[in-house]
Amino acid sequence: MKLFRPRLLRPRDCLVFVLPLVPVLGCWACLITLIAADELAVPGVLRSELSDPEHPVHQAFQGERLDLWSLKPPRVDAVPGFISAEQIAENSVRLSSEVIDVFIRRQLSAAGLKPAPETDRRRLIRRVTFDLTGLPPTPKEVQTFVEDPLPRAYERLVERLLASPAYGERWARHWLDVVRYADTEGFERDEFRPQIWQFRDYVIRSLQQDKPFDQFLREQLAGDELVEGPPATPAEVDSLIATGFLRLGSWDSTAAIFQEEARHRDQQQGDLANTTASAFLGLTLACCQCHDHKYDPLLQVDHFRFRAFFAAVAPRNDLVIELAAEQTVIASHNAELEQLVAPVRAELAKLDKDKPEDQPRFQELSTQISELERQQRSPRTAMGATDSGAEAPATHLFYQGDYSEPRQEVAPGFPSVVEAGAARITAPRAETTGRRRALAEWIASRQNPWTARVFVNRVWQQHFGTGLVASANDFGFSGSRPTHPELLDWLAVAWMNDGWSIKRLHQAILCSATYRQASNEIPEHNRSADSTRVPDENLRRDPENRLLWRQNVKRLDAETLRDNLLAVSGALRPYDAGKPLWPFVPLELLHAQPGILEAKDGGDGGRMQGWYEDPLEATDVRSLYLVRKRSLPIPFLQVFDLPDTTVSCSRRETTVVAPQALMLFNSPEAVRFAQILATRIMSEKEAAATGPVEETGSAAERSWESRVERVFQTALSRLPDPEELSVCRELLTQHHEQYCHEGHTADEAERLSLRDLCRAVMNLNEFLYID
Amino acid sequence: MQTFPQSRRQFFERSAGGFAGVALAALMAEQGRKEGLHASPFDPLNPLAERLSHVAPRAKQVIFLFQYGGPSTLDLIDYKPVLIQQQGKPVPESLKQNPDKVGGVFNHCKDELMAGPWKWSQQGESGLWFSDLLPHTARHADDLCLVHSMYSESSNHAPATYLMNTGAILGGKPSLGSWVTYGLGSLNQNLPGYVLLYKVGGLGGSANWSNGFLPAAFQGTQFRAEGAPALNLAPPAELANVQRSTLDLIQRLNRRHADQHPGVLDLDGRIASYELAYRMQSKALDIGELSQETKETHESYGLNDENSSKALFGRMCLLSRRLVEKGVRFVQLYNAVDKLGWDGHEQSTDYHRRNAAQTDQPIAALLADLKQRGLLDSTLVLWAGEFGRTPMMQGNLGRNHNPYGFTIWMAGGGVKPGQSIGATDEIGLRAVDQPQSVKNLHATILTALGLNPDELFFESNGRQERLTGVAQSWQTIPGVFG
Repeated sequence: MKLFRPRLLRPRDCLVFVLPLVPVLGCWACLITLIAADELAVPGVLRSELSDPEHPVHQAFQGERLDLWSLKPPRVDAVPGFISAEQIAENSVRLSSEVIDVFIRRQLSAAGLKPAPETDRRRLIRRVTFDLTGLPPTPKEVQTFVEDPLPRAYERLVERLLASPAYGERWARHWLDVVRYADTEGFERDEFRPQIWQFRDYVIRSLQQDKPFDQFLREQLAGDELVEGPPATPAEVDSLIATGFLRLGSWDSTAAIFQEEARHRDQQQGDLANTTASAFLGLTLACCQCHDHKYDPLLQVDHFRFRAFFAAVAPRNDLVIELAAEQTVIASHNAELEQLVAPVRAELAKLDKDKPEDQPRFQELSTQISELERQQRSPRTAMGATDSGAEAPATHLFYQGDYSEPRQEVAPGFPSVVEAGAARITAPRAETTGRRRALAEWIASRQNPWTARVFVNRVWQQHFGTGLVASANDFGFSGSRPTHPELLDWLAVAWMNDGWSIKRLHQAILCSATYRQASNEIPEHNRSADSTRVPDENLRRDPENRLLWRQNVKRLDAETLRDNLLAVSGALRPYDAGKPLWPFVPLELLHAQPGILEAKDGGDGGRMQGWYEDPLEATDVRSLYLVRKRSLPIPFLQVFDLPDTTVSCSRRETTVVAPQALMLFNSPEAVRFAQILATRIMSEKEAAATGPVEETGSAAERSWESRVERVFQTALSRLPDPEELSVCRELLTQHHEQYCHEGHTADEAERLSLRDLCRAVMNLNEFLYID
Repeated sequence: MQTFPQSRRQFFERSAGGFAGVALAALMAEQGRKEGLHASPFDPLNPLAERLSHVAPRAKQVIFLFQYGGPSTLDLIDYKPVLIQQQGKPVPESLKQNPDKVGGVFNHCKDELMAGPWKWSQQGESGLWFSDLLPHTARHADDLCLVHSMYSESSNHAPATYLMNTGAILGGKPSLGSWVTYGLGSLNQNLPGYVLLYKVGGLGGSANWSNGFLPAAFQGTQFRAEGAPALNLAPPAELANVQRSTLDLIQRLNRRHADQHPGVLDLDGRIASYELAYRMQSKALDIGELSQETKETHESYGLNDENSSKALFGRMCLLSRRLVEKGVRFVQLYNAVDKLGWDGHEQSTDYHRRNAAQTDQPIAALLADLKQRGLLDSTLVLWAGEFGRTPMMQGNLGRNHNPYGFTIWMAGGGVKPGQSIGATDEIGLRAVDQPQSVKNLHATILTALGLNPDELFFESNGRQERLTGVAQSWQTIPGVFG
């Protein structure tokens, strides 16, 4: 068999395709022609170049590994009636829901699977509202949508949700996971970062504004290199704030005390390179830090070439983000004050404060000075980064990844498999290297085979629970292969053609029949027709639902679960972004981190190592706005699979463990939400009692029934069925008796038993798992 | 949603028969054992189900007595007569020139050697040396295996503490306890598999017992030494009488919901988790009932000691024995009762007197108790800080952090007792004979548990992550198992 696998004949897939056509070995020439005509692995790189024995990638892997699927540019083929050859030629392929369905259905029918029918409107609004806003629909919103008789009701719903501010808050959370956002430094002191929330708000704003993704990434990697001088527009201000991305990793402020700067710099640089590669490219550069990559065509030197783009990054906690015009105003305001204060200072200098006769005047002048000084304005600043100057410190390859063993100096460069030489870099200004801008442009380039695929896959993953590529941060050989490669490629190309608009991407996906499928339960309007049941056959053939013959049931993540509790109970407060809030955490848990105790005694020298609890009600805001302290995640969120913030998180785990049950069932936090909901429903009842009297049943009868209905509508977006009504009634009756027996008044017992019902409903699977 | 093809498919085949969640999870765990699935992938419905190790284990359970702050093992268990002779003298020139990878230790110290005011003696048949700071532990000389030649990769608390607990100087990786429970599950399904006891944790906070990228089932759960054993174990008091009926309603509605969602595993898992939580309430409360122990036991652990810190640590030690007895896989204690721990930059002698007084007797009682109950053979006890301290004086009679050489000890769990391994140089500054990395220590512990460090991995961000890093980059500490 060796004969059939000469190095020249790589890639493997090409061989497999060609061999059957070439039954005779005499056709060598024909084979070689075919391979030479094969498309380029990456524009600019010829396969022949990669098979050059001098090429470093060839030297390392002997021509192997080049058939990595994600290395090939996304490719779109014509689909009769949907994608024409002309559109492909003109690069005008656009996003469309129908095309998504075509690709999905094609594979379903090939596998003999039948797609699930569309789910009912109640489930649909619940699903799409959680997906886009991370909040439940209100009962009124559900009713309006269910009863909407006009065409495009669903499309209009999607538009409304995409336009809501809550959309930005929800989707910012996903991106913050990827870039490992936290509000503190980590390590021993784990100091609060007083300004980094501006980056969080920048992400929220960018999503709300539907900033094109290529711009979004340029700003984060090189926002400072995109702006010349003081920012002239709010967009330029955002561009500077975006460099907070370069600061998000953990930072050991005590490293210098022990002369561990070399170790620390190694960590910082490695972390920046690895996070950037994971977040934007789905490349696992962390795996080639000590040696060449075990699976992918990545060299050890590629890790360090990539690091070199960040070599000049200098942390800045004083990045001025005031508009240029405002900066001028502030400067002249301060100059005017200075003019006022100067003569006062001069007069003061002439006085002798030790002379009794001078003392009153001295006092007077001092007060004047400090009052004038107090009026000085300082411009707003942000935590971000710039380059330290035009020259970057040298980057060396570390032998076996060990920072104490530097070897040859390395110039900034993209993965050698794409471009073996050094990157071409021109500095936009004298005081910066331009390295990060060059990197950003390369990542944002339409020719980059990874960027668009990686991002559309992230969005797909959130809407279906699993991405088309299940390993969203790894598009290499050890990651998953795409389940629908043609769909992924088409999505990537069409999305770029649609101006990298994330909202359009949502629209296309959400309006597809694939997204709207029932998750499992037989939709109400189809219940009678046995033929539309979710076929057992599907479950047998594709139990993982890899081909998407139905929608997946998705569990709310930690923040959405807490937000759901807040929203359903009615406790949720609007928060106009800004500084993070600090919820109550039991003292004994604060003891987990001695750095916090140090701050309690005031021993942290103002470094803000502590826990700065806000009043309880003030923290009833969306979880996105709660502080993310590296050494002490908020316990309620942590138990529901909150990811660690040290490395990029591409996908939340959803484990099911008993401590979650204890938290949601027993914790005072959770019980409080049940209490608030019960109180709210009781007061609604009183309001409703003044309305028209219904015709049947006693008042008491109607009252408990309508309360149960309200609980279900609010918490589950639906009414209870008769069996549910009856078991809920049982609970209410039994608990009512119990509380009366314990000496509570009848009214009080009524409220307490309703609270217990709310508590039960907030613990239901249906409360956490969305159809 | 979890996607574990094997168990999922099995589950699906069985769920066609209509089992209830709890019974099913139990059945699957049972099945796994029968089929002899070695280090099988964990079952998402019953993540703590006991799993078989790769090879026959020497130890089944672990108690990790973490010594926060960096104890000066020079003052406790690393006897250095030269240091005593050279008291007040400068560091020998030959020892100053070493190119240490980790910087900074010398810079903060005086060029002056300092020996503690301790009396040293050899103990037991083995003749291991102990200072008079640890009279109780000294009686267990013949149970201990001392490793004198440990070194760390940072002289800084948080990175070194992360390294000792998670194998990496950056936080965020799964801790030793998480890896062990991930690898082996637990022996008792009604308690968490990995329990922590602390009054004050280590610097770097809860990242020291984080599950990192491992599923949350393998997170460390804090137990308290006083009051109810764990947070949220019981509802607020006024709900105590309605707990079961409320749970019944939840489960009833959940089962209806699950019936409407065939093939969605997590729903059954969640039903089971509520039953487990309910059982846990009574089981865990029972763990905290120290009144079930005899008066002698209370005395031996120092529970009635007038030193309240010692009494507290004694309760932690006694609780850890009770937890191990009930089958908890991994128990970790933190010694510190305040934020200082062993971190004696000034007046090091005071720090060591205080910490030794708090911990010595309870630890000795724990060893004796485990031994007497026959639990020591299958329980590996590990005593280790994040690093040691310098033989040079820092500031006012203090000692600085020393990652170059320090001592840890192990006992029980198949470890050959009454021996010492490796050595530091004549003043106790650097490990010179058989230097051992923290990675080797972790590999040794996994090996004791019958786990192959290279085969214990988890895929994260495209990488096969292991506690011990790159395959074959470790070795077990030679001689530990005899």
